[in-house]
Amino acid sequence: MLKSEDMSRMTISGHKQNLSDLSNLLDKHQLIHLIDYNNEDDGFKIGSSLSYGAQTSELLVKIRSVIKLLEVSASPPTSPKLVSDIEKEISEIDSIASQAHKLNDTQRDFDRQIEEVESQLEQVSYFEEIDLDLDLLSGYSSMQVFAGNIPEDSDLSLLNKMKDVEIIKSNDITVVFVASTSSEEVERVLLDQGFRSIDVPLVSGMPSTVKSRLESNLSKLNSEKEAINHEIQAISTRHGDWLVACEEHYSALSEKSSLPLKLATTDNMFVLDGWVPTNSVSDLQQALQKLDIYYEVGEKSELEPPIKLDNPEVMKPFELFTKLYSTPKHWEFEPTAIIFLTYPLFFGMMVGDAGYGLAYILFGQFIITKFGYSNELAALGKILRMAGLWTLFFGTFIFAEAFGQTFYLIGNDYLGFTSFVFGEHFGPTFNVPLIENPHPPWQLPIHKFSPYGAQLMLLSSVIIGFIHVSLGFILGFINELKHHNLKHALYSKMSFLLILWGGVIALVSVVGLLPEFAKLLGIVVLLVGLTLAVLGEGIVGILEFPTVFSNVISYARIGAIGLSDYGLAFTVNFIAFNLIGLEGIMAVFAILILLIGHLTVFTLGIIGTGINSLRLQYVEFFTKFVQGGGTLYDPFGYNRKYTNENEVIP
Amino acid sequence: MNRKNNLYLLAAMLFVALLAMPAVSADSHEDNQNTVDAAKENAKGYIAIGAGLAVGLAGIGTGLAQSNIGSAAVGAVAEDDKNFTNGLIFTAIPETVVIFGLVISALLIFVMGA
Repeated sequence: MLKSEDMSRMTISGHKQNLSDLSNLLDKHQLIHLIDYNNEDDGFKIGSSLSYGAQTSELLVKIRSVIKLLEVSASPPTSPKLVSDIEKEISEIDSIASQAHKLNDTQRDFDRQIEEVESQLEQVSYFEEIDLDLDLLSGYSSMQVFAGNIPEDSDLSLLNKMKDVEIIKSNDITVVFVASTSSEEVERVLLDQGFRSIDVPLVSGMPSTVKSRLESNLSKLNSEKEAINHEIQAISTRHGDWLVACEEHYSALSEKSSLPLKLATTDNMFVLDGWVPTNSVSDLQQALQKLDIYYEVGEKSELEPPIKLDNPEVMKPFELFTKLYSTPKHWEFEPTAIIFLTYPLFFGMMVGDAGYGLAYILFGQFIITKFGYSNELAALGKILRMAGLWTLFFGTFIFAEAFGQTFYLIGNDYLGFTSFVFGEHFGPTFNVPLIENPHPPWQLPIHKFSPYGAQLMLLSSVIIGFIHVSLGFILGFINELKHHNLKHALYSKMSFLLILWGGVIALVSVVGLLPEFAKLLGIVVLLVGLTLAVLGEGIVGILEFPTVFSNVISYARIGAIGLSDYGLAFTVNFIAFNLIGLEGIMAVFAILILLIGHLTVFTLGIIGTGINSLRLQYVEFFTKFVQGGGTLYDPFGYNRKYTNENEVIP
Repeated sequence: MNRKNNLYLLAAMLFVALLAMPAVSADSHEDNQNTVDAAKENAKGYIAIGAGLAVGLAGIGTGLAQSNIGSAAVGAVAEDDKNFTNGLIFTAIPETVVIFGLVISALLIFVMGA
């Protein structure tokens, strides 16, 4: 927590003939993060794949092409297949592949034919309205035929005057027969009138007969194509799971076979270099003793170790946000534990509604059960569930409302009891500085739409912002102290912290909450901070100092989004209950409005509130202390989901 | 909408805002309590208009800035998922403007309007 896991450097060397066993062992334990060897100057060479590598890649290409042809999509893993079974059955891949290729060829053939018939059909349909055998429209030696569209307002009187010209006109098409001798002149007139030519279909028969013939042809082709599609689908469902398992197994084998590509080798020996979590070194050492190789563990190293985030299980989902920003360096604070607290806190404050809170919890749980096999989606589900929990808390005990309706109203009008959170007021009375006392005095719940409630929400969000930003600077200060020196830490972090605190002390004194001399103190602190900033960063320090305050003010969005979310839900309820009403047939519309409206607010909550809460972390908080740019710990080995190497004993 | 149209829109808004200027000052009619009260009520309306304009205009500004940044960010994310965080941060930068608008309107309503 707050720090990435300690890493130890490990070097393994031995005879090349042990590489295959070593690769199996490292894959099984998945503990060592390899440092790729890429310096060929010092007498070593990069190794080449293990003996089974080439064959594995070949199989893998075949399996993947079949998966693509059959459009197999991986379903959530149910019961893992045994590796020994897969290796026994893999010879079948050839017959499946040839079947898939054949079906794919036939399918493409049908596609081409259908396209052809469709284009013919389109041509013929233009000629449907002129009742003339299509044979008569082409194949003359002394006569030219023009067929095409002409704008409705065009003037064809010029053509009518000419001799040897016959015009047949319908809504869709105009056909002009003309003797070859005057065809050029006619063409010019037609083009002047905006004539667009249409190809005459090269078939015989009346257009309507041809059309119906083509249509029956098309439907036949379509049904045959459908049959092929069904066949492909059938094969895909029959072999899909097996293919996915095969793909996984051979990907894993391929990764194992590629181990030497990352090592330094000589003709007979190899050297492997990597990082192992310090806690797991002894496990790996024990396993390595079975092999005839030499290894060495060094505690300290000049190089930067990879980062293995180390958090309790409940915080793990929030590592997603940390990784999304940037992997922290090993000497930096690892912010997951803080986001674990603040992200759902901000989210809960913003939505602050028991009804939506419950809905988010259920939706999060739904994502976890439905898409749990994908690590990232499961993490998102867990984050949403946690956010929902906080929303439920704020909605119940602070704002006492559900779906934009206060508990008091629900309790009073529908449930018939008005105690505790269902009461008009509950909990002890309290005082809020700066905001004038309401009548009756301050007590929970906070009504978002009362002027007092809105002021309190804005004020408390800015105070939270002040704490959050200060924490960011303090963590940044400690980071700089550890990595650089006191001077650097003072100039780059303490300076802005002092500016912020000085400004706030002065401001609080101005509004009368601190004695008069604090104003002077605040200004002095601010000036000291500004001096440090200018010493450290030059003129940029002066330019940057207002951003500290705008960062804090930015947290006002917590209150603002809280108000607007409530406003939306309130409006939906108002339209449904007060404007439409629940009487007779209108009840249907009212319920429809309620459903659509609350679903919209729910979705906006995820998109708007979720993003805004994250943005506060990234823009206002992380920029103060996370530099990032570390390498994520990615141990050698393949995580199997669809296959299992050992017999499972039930 | 092109830039010229935007300017026209802005000018129209300012004109409406000018129309809304109070025609009488509350202080100059102390002899007539009703007029003073009416003027005070009026002033509340103007404060509300001002607060609305503060958030609304700032929102338009943020929207204009975000539209360009947002489309560029979507393009960058489409090219490489790793750009998501940077895209989000860049898109979020102009949001400060509308928050300032919000703060000003809150000050107008809660401090001036109180």
